[in-house]
Amino acid sequence: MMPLDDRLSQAVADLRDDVETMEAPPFAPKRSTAPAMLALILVLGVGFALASFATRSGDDLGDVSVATQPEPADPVNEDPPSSDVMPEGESRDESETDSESDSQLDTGRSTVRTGQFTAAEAGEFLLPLPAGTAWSPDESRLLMYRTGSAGSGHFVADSSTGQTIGVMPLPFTPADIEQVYWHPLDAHVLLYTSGADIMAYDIATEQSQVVVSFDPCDRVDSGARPVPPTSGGTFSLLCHAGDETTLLVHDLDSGLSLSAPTTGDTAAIASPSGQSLVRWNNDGSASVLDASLAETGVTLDLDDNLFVLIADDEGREWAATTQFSGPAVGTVVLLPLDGVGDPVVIIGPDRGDPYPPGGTAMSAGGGVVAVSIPGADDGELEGRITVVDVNSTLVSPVDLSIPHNSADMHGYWSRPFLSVSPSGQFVAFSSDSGGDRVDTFIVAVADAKD
Amino acid sequence: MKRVTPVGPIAAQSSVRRTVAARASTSRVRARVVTLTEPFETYYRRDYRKLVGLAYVLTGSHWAAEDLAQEALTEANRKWSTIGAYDDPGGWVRRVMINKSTSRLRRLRTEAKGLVRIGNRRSEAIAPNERSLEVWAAVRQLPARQAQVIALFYWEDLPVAQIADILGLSPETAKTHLKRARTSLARQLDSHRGEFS
Repeated sequence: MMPLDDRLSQAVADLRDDVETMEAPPFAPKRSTAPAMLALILVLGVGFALASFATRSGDDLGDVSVATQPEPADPVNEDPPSSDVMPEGESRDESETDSESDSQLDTGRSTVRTGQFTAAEAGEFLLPLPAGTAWSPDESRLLMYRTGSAGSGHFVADSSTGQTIGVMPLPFTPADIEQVYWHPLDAHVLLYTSGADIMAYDIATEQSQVVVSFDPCDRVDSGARPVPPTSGGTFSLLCHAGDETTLLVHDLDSGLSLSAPTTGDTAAIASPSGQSLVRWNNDGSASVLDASLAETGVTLDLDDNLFVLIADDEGREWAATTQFSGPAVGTVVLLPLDGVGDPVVIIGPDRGDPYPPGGTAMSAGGGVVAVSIPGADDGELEGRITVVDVNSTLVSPVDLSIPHNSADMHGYWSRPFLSVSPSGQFVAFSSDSGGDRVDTFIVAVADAKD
Repeated sequence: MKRVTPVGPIAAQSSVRRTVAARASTSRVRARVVTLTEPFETYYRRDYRKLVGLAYVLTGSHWAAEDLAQEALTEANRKWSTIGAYDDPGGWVRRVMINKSTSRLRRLRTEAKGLVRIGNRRSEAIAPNERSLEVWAAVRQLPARQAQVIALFYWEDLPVAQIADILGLSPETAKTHLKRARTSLARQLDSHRGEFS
């Protein structure tokens, strides 16, 4: 086997050969996003057939294919969707659902796909907004991003019928594609930032208006990663003013704001209760802050790995992350925000699971953490959506494991995007299924949690 | 730690305004003479390919790489009166570009924008063979910071101290990232596991 240094040197040499054949184009300063996005719509439209979202069965349901309909959120004992109308081959025998061991991944839980948003043409991509931002607060709507001949951009669909709601693409330009969020207190309103303003877009009236302006900031945004508002209305941002960047936390309910210094490149992430926030540091760690943005003294050794925040049934809050080294290695590791006790490995080598594969995307909601890992289905972690309920982890570490077989054939478009609904009952995820388009699926988690 | 008494949005605005005013005041009394090391156009022609290569290692996309490099260079051009006087303006440009590459969806948008900008110039100059593709794909599977350290160490051939400077890390932290990254890469590429332990 060729040593690592040799392989890297060879790869560098190959890349250098390629790069040296390139000509540096005449320098042309880049301009604002809007004209580029407009042009993007035109360019991507060429060669793409009209996106119709035809159903698999050929029924004309409108904009998307939905095999069965997830009900609006009901936090208690929702019946699993009927299997009568599931797409063929996408339900599993309930007898496979028992989990006996806490040391191996249980890949046999019921996998019920309740809906599929199908891209009609090769080269068309439909993605749920990641990191828990796709689902409206009442779970009746999904916020997605789409490319195709009908236009590229964000759109909203009814999660039950699949019908597109409002115009497509949505008529505004956010700070970044992923930085469009549902208003946690109003299921008809999307939030985004523009310049130094938080903007609210009303889907019904198709109008945007300023929620609040932070005039001394040149601009406000979430920074390098999406940071959706919490269900309680805590909206965390960065304020960029000249060379200085500060944390900014705005309460959508009361209209109150706080600010504090930061060295990180992302807004502080508020916990589900809003009583703690986690602020990235510039060394890959993160510090836990209290609701007044004062440091609690707890530092999370994240090694730059992404995390999501989650609360268990007792109200204790955790950062769920993937750890590749250190005392707690695992695909899903819980770090206590109160700093009390050791990290808890939910899925990891110490529990008999594989060493964490790379490329893990993670989302959380309603006490549930879901991870999506690219690749062909290996029966364990790669190529699967894996869902854990943090409240039953010691008994049954993995509640649901769904193959999605994303072959990563389309670069970023076919990376694993996923979003857990606020109640934790549904997961929306995208997959290229090893093919030439990317679809979005909705699965029900509720049956696996019973 | 600066905290703002929460009495409404105006309070936040006022607080930030004070900060801005203080900085503006400071900058007025610290005027300095800037000596540019070279014109921006010279720097651009010299460093463009190297930057695109670095962006390619981090994104895996020729188009995204070109666009990321252009974005970072645009910022550099805008601030060249300051950056051009640095000992290593390339380090500043690399830091900006690496920061821009960290958001997956930002990269996605960048790739799409790259397609627009490049228009019908569709033939990819960067088309590594399968073995190289496997190596770079493994690098991109690493945690972001580790991938960045690997890219700067191997592609840019920079010493750890300079990598730490670019990424805003301590040399020890950069060294740790490098070690962890090599260990993970060796495992992922099925190299001999004990080689780096």
